[in-house]
Amino acid sequence: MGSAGSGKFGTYRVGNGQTTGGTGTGSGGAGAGGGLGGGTGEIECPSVIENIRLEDVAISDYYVNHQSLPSRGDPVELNNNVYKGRLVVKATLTGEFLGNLPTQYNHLINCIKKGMQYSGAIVASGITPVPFVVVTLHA
Amino acid sequence: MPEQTVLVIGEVFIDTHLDIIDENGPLVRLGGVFHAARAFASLDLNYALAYYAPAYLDDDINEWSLYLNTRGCYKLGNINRAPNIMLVNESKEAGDQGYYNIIKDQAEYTDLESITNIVDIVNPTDILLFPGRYDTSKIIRSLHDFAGKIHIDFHYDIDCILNDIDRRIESIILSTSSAFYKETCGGTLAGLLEHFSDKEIYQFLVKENRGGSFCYIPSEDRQYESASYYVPTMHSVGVGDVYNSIFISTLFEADVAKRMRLAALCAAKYAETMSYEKFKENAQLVYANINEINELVGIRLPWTERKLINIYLAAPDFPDVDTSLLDRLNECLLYHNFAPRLPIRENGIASKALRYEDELSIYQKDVVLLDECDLLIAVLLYNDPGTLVELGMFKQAGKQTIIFDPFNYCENMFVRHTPDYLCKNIAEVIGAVYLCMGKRG
Repeated sequence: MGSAGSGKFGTYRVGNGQTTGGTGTGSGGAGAGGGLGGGTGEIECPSVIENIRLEDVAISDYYVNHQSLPSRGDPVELNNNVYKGRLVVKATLTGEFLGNLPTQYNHLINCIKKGMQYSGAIVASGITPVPFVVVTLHA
Repeated sequence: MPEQTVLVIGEVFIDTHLDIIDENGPLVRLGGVFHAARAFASLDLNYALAYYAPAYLDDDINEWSLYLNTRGCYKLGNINRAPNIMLVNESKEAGDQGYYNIIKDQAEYTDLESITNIVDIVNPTDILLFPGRYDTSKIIRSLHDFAGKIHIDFHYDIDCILNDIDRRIESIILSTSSAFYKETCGGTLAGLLEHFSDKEIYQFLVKENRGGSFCYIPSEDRQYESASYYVPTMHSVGVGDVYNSIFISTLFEADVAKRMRLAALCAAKYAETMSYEKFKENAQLVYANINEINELVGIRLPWTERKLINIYLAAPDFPDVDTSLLDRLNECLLYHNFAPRLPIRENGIASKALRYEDELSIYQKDVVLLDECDLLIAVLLYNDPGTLVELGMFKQAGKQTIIFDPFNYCENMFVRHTPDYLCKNIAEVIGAVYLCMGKRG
């Protein structure tokens, strides 16, 4: 009778499960099914981050300057440098900052420094009950 | 000043991650001193290894130490009658990781080489010591005349290792996952200083898991702090060892705070992957861009403050429901020193047999408990109306909420858009708790 077992050291390879996303509530979604969370689950530079609600929209440049926000479908991009301690999403057309990426995405700084550029579009925006912007970004 | 060379002393294990499955089954890699080796190698820092391990591992140890560019790899002794295989049940440290060292109690340690001979050959400036079940006291006593700095990871197998030691120790390094810090020192700096009051210690480093870290230097009476950095955590095994290695390095010279930040960032990068090449690439990127990345806000939530954070666990905690996931979440929150509150277990269950006034009394106690809590986690074991009402009431009070939805019940629009974080497993929930309650710094 044969047996199962790990082959040898050094066989680990990074998987290709390169997508992660929010849920409209800002959750990083790399987990497997129920329970404690297993599987390799290794995601560093996702090809897509979906439905990310930006933070501090009401005090960011775009809303402060215009008292309004860009519309659904308008292009956005992730700023390539840290600004006041945060990663910032800006409106592609005007270059004005729309809001901060939630801090759980700060690890994307390494992806940016590797030369990846994240751009995408506004999924939803509005000013009631409070100014909000939801974006999807692609590498 | 001579260039720093660190001699790392400790055991070598085979870390076997039972919950990280690749094409070959559970993931295995060399652990023990090899975590520090990867850290030093990633930033091209000088180091050597002095280790205890079973003989069957020697070829692999030599091969991988060469790969990791060590200045030398010396065997202190053999471990017989035990394989030094560490089973890791829960790699991400959502709670207790459930380490299991196979037949460890019958391990026999036999010395092959003296530490003084190895020190003479390597001529290190620093020694980073990971105590083990080898005769650690004897090693430390043998280093009495060593002129360099000794740093000790004061976590495992530490009983009496500093008895009769009167030399100066540069660093005592602890973690809030160590029983010594939590129980013997009461989880406080005061308890720690009291324990070492008759020793000459230059600095104490306390790593507070995902809540950051602090370093206290008695001669300066000064405390340095660093935030931790959230990453999609793949594992937590050896992450603290990586922090140690960068922390004791001479990078940034006297700038302790900046070195702590780099250590925290590199530790986070280690937690993100099992691939050494990827870790090295990321660590070097962080180091090359440290002035910018250093500005990124992280999370600070000291161990002692977590006990004051009351977390309402809303769930159908009824006798006829399988609440094992709720119980596990409760254990994990306690492991991280939070204060989870279980309303039904505290205030009682509203059965159909209850009189109206008794049921009302329980309801009012639960409302008071909701008011007392700082964070709510709704555990959707199914779409229980009570759980969802509590979620809405809590959110409407302006406080943060998390949904733990292990079985994908969360489909309703209001339920999906109400919480601040929607999580599918406990590891994600624990990460979200730190994001909700931690201070940005």
